[in-house]
Amino acid sequence: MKRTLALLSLTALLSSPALAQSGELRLIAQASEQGNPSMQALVDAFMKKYPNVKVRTEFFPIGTGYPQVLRTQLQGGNAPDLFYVTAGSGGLVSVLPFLDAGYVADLSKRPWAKTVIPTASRGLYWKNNQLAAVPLGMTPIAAVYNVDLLGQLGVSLPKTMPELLKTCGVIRSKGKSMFSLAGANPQNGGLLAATLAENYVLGSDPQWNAKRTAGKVTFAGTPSWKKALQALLDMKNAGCFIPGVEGADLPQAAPAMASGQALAFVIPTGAISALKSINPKLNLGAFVLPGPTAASTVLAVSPTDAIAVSKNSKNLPAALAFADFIATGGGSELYTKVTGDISTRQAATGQNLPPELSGIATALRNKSRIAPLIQIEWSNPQVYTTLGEGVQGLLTGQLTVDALLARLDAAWNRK
Amino acid sequence: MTSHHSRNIPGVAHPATGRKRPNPPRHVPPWAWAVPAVVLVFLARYVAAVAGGWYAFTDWNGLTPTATFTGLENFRQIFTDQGARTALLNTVKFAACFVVLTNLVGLFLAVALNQHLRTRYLLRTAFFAPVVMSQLATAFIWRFLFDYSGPINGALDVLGLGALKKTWLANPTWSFWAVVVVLVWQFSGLAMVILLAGLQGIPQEVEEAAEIDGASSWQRLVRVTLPLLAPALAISIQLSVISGLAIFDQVMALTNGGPLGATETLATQVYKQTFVFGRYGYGTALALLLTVLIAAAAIIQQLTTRAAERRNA
Repeated sequence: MKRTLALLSLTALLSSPALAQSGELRLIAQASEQGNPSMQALVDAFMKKYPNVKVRTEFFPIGTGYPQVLRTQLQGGNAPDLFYVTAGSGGLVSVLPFLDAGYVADLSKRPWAKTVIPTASRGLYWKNNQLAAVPLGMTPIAAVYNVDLLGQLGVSLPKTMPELLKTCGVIRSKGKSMFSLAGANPQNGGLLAATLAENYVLGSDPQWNAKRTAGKVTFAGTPSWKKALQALLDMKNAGCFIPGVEGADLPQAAPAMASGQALAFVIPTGAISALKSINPKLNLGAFVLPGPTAASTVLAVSPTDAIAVSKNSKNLPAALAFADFIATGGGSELYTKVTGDISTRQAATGQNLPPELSGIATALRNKSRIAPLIQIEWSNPQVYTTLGEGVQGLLTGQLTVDALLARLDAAWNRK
Repeated sequence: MTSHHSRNIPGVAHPATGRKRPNPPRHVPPWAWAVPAVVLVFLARYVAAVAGGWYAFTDWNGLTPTATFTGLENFRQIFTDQGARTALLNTVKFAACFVVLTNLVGLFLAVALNQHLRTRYLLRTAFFAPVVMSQLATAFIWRFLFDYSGPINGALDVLGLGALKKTWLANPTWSFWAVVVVLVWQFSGLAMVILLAGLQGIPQEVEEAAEIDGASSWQRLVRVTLPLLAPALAISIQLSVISGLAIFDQVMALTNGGPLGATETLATQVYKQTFVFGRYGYGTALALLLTVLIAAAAIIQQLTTRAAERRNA
């Protein structure tokens, strides 16, 4: 009898999905100087739930280091079981080119496949009825600001671009700057221009990316793109940015914000934890970078960060269990809680947000004024880098708006 | 004892087995000993490089298993693309400034530190030290110095020269010269060491004879020292031409090729196009162009030096 009971218990245990998986997985991701604690927390939680699976993590430097390692491992036949990617096709580790090249497993048959990705972002993950990756969470792009400094300066948060330009002047007269910006860093410079384009371009034509892909519009031929980049020049002329902005990289720009020299910094909200690591006493809030009018303002929110499963994984069942854990097992909520991003549920409802993001809750609930980050649908990574380098060119006066737009079209058409 | 030794002597019967060991070949040509190493170098370096060079004629993106042959398309793009042309021009400008300034400063230091100063060994070490420091690490230190809120602009403020403050590394004109300053600071010590060795090989009597004949210091330097220093100068110039054309670390760390390509070089373009944008075919074509450029510069410099030596002989 005892033996029968023991056998029944063992059978029941092994039929549990968590214990059915075993073996080892290798996961690679990018990391900053502080490592990647959010990814590690996710992995640790998975291993706790799946005690028979050991996940070995390898982290590589953010920037060009990680993309280089990932591409080499994929091409060299040494692919990890799981790897960090970004959505769409416009970045260095965007997942859709990896899907085209046959390196990632199709996740379209997973039970969560049809529900976990917001409708507006389906094109960033789905191609030819194949699902390329599982999103880790949603990343809003917002102007993260120093709440205490705002009170000291005696200004209120701007709701339109004209208000913003006036506020910049007031803050400059008090010896501070409205925005910190790493003008010499193409990724950060490009992000500000892209966020302005959300308001000016997608705000008036939400299908602009699809039209550009179909060749029906161009950067140079789109008046709203000219307005977006002109707004950036207007911000520069109004003294919105820190002194020496065109030469500043992240090691200069982030401390300028964290030390109270600048009021705000346009960043993915997931970077809030990095700012707090510089100055733990920072009291932060967030607002949407305004468009020309309050009604035309758009908040960029997209499932940018994701995990792809290697098509050639030697432990595919366990790797798929990891993807399931992110999608429906609480992994996404855990990851976003650590990074400062938000889960898909928080993005959908605008509720239960971290206190720093309460300022964008209303914008999150206004579904008609939300759009995915504009550049993640672009044709190749060079377009966004061209935009970022062009922002520095605008700040130094080396480029005109028209010349930059022509460069963007040339980069888009490049094979 | 004898039997113990006989076991290891070729041609002598083994006491246990009774079989003779074969004699080694008597006439192995000396060069044969180099064959394994030469084959290894040939395979690992030259065959690999030529095989990699084939990608310059393809559109490989680093992901797909196959690459399509595109002929000279990548090279056509290099010479029609404004960014690549700027990088090519900058490479030549950097190399020219690097060769001239590094060797001039190196020569000045070598002549100065060839005197019987009590602190000459300390000073030689101090001026040579940057050569052995990490190029990337020192470039990041210079980046801090050149920062808008950094010590250089701070010093200008203190001196009442605040109007001269600049964003050195983001200024379209000054960023180029900022990189040149760092390069000369780092490498003039190497030129100094080479030229110092050359100076110490010049017989003291020749200098003394010129002095007795009434030659001034300048005349002695131009008419006696420099001609005798020509072989050392040739080596220093050759090394600096090669290094100058392949400048990479300092540019990446200081300016990342910016602002807007003002300090972009062929080497930084090779890296960006290949590893950042995944254009492996185009990046390889750029690398091939850079290799040809360096080889051509080295050959021309060698031929010029030999012609000068023949004239002097």
